[in-house]
Amino acid sequence: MSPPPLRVAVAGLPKAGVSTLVNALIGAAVLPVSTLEGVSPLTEVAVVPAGETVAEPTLHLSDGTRAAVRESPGTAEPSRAASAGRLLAGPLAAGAAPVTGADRVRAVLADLRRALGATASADGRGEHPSPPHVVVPVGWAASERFVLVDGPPGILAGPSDAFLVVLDYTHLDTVEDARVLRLAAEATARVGPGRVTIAVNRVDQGEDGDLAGESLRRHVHARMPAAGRPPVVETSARWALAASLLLGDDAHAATLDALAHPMGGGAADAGALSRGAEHTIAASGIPELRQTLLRWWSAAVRAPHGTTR
Amino acid sequence: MADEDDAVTLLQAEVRDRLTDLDALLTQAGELDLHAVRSGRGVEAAMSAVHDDVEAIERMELRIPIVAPMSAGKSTIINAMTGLTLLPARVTGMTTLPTRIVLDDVAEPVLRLAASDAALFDTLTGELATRLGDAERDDVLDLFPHMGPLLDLIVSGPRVPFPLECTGEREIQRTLMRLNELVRVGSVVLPDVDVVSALSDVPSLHTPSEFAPAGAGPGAGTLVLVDTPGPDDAQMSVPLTEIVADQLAKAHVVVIVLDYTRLNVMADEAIRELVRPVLARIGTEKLFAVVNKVDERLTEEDPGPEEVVRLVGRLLGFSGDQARERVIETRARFGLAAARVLARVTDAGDGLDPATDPAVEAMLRLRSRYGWERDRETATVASLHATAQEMWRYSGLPVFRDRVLHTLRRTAVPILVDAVLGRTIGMLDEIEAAASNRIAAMHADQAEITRRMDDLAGELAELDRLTSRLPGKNEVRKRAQDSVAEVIDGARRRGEVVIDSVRGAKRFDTAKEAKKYIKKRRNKASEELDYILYDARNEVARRLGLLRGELLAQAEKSVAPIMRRAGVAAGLPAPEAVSLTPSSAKAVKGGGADPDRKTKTYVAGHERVDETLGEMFVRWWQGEAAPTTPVYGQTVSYKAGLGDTRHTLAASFGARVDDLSAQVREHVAPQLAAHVSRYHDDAVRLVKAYRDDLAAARDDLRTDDRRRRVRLEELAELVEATRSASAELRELQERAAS
Repeated sequence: MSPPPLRVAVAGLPKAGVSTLVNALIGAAVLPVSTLEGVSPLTEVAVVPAGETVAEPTLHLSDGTRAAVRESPGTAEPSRAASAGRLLAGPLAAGAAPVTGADRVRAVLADLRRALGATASADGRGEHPSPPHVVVPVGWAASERFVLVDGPPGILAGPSDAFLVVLDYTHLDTVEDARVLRLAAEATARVGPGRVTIAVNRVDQGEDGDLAGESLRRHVHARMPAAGRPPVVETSARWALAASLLLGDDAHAATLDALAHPMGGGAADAGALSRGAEHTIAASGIPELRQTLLRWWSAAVRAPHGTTR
Repeated sequence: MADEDDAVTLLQAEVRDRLTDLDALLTQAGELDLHAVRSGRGVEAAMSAVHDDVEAIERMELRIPIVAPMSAGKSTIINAMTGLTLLPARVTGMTTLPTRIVLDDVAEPVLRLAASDAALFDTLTGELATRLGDAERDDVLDLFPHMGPLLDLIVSGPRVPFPLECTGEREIQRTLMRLNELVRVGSVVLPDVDVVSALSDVPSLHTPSEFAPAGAGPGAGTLVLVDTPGPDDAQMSVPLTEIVADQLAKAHVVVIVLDYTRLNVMADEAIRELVRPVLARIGTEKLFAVVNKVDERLTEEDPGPEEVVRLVGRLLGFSGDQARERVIETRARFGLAAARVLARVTDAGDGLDPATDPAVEAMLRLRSRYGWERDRETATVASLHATAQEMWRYSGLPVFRDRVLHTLRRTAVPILVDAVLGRTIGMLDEIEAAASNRIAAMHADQAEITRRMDDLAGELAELDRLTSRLPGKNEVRKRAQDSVAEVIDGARRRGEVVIDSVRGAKRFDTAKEAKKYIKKRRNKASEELDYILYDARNEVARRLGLLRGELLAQAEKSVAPIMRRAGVAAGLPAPEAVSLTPSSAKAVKGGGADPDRKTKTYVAGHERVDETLGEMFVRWWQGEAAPTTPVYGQTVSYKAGLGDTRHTLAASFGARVDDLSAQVREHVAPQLAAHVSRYHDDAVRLVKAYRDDLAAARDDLRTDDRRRRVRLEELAELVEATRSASAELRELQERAAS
């Protein structure tokens, strides 16, 4: 009998890069990443070892989701109505098969976000009981299983085995970040610093002389009202995702190329790009976070009673 | 051209003269005892506003505050506009003091500080030097880990007075950074000292720029950009909010910088709150919005340019056309990198060495993450120049420059004239209305006036009675204390439980282990105690917020009907106008990490005592056993007692809780009392002004016919004079607009 998957809340403010970070962790662009059309609904990403159950990302939608889309008040707006219509005719139709493939899953989830719009509340409460559930095979898990819950800071107050808190490097010190850190501190007080990690994302935006390493860690810890000191990892999720897509499949080379050459005209030779990609992943903080997840798993397997509170 | 130049000079002179001419009219209004002007503040206030405007017209300065949430990139934009890194920029908010940037025709940038302000910073530095102990140092470094060198400098550096004036890119950047950081350090180490409110002016930076007014054609004025701190800075203090509001009140044009990556986050709401009063005065046609960091737009799901225009337009209340013209997308990071290289090329020309120049490296890195080293090898000055220009265009800043700064500079005079005239005309209208009211009153039956005055007297008496019954400082203090007493007691009780649990002495073999044990227990407890305090502080703020609402609702319920009867209106003070959160307390600290060393002696065995041969023989002869001496062994153990730790923790925690309670008593409650009574004061002032106008009318009526006729004539003259003055100003305003 295998132990149940480890439930990890991945939480942060809109645009801090929560979905991008989850995408980077699973190495596939499964979650849509723009948030202007309201707040993303809670999404569960089940990480399973490659080759065990599914061959590619697979999205399961529930009756609860169908009901939520039907009842969503925002669908009077044309763009929303179109999304809702597409969903109800396709993946949400009775007896529809699960959606497979990263691109298709992302498109459906984007439709779902548009259709649900502002009904997904910012604090994560009032969600319907069975959120969209994506099963994603990854190479870095041998037998470990996780459910990553992508959501707003409010889910830090909810039940999870571990918490990954995402902060935006360029917005440290703002009033909203202070609020997220407070929630993170409360979560730490509940489960202990060993089950919380703070990812400071978008460190690629920093300049020389900005906070990094020890000074960044100290900066973050000083803003957590005394509750233990969870590890702080510096990440650049977007670069890591683009790089791993490139290494996985040349069809996606354009993404990394566009990132590396924002003014266009880019593409050095393909060799330089893939060498750069490897280096980028290694320095992105994502491998560290994967290790963190695996460590959480083995700690939980050793002490299975210490789970959800 | 010369004609136009003359026309503008003439216009400028005319406006100035017209405003100066108003002195006579205003004096007369003052002599006639008109009170209901400028929200009951009277003619005096009107005169001082006019004098301010005359000064602005004479200097031809267009004030443009740049408002933005933290880290949206406003300092980067301003730096890029000058091609110099004059303003310090950092990911963790850098601007704490507003800074005035005068786009001037000076030869090199100059930073000026008012003499009294420089002296203030010297005093602050001296005070900090004496107060910065290890504990304070830790507190500062916890919040601002990069400030170590500055703290060293404060404590042991040479006492060099702040310069009143400094020049040079690096020197200016360093001085500004130092000013801002001193304010931040001050807010931690000397929380009771309000440096920001004591400043007489904001630092003023004159920088050479292509926007200098000289030679820019007629109607050009000096652009004064005001860099303001972000309203969402968690460290921002209340006095600072007031300074920003003050800068906004003097604004002629406002530029808002928004962060593309945060378009739908709360920070924008804070910005909108901040600029709302200004917008009401100057209108959306004097507002520009820059949406920075659009280089973060990557996937097809991110909002495109049109959606940005729509969103921001809706946020700020632009019409569709206005939004297309006034919402500008930028990538300031690229703009600054390009502007720096362009400035280097201009300075160094062919002497620029691509291989070593940091500006070149920064630009090439931005342009190509994986290929920049190769790009640098093949770069020439000409190719770098071309790349920099391409990047400058890509940054979107040329659009900002042309559509905002150039337009504003070219049309500074009309904008300024329009703003000044608009404000003055509004004031004249008020004077005219007050004088007309008086005339109407004097034509009315004396009995009628008396009756109306009796009413007002009743209403004023009622207001006075209400004001006197207004909860005073002491009462608000008491109510505030009562409402938080439970919180504070609760915190104390929770703390006692934590402190009491610090028990259980243990023995260890080594001092290190014992110390570690004590320290672990101590840290765990002090973290829990800190957490209790943190919770308590937030709960205190929440309860005081409720109390504020309650007090104001009470005041409004009694005052509003009176004001309605008197025909005047005063708004309730805004919740942002008072800060109810006690400032964060220092961490709870405990001592007593020294374990007791216990030694225990025991007999480990015996050893024989050395004997000479003779002694041995004698002993043997007497049949005695060989003499021995006991060998003593010693075990050392370390007792890790927690008593000291418990006592010091209790003392430290107690002091923090007392401090919290004292803060409510000494700072927050008096502020709350003043906040509520301000509303009453406004109401009383308005009703009094109205009553005084009526009293003046009655006094006039009581005099003999001849004098009454004279007074009526004077008032009629004033009405006439005000009417014609405001007509002239309106005509001038229209002329200036065309």
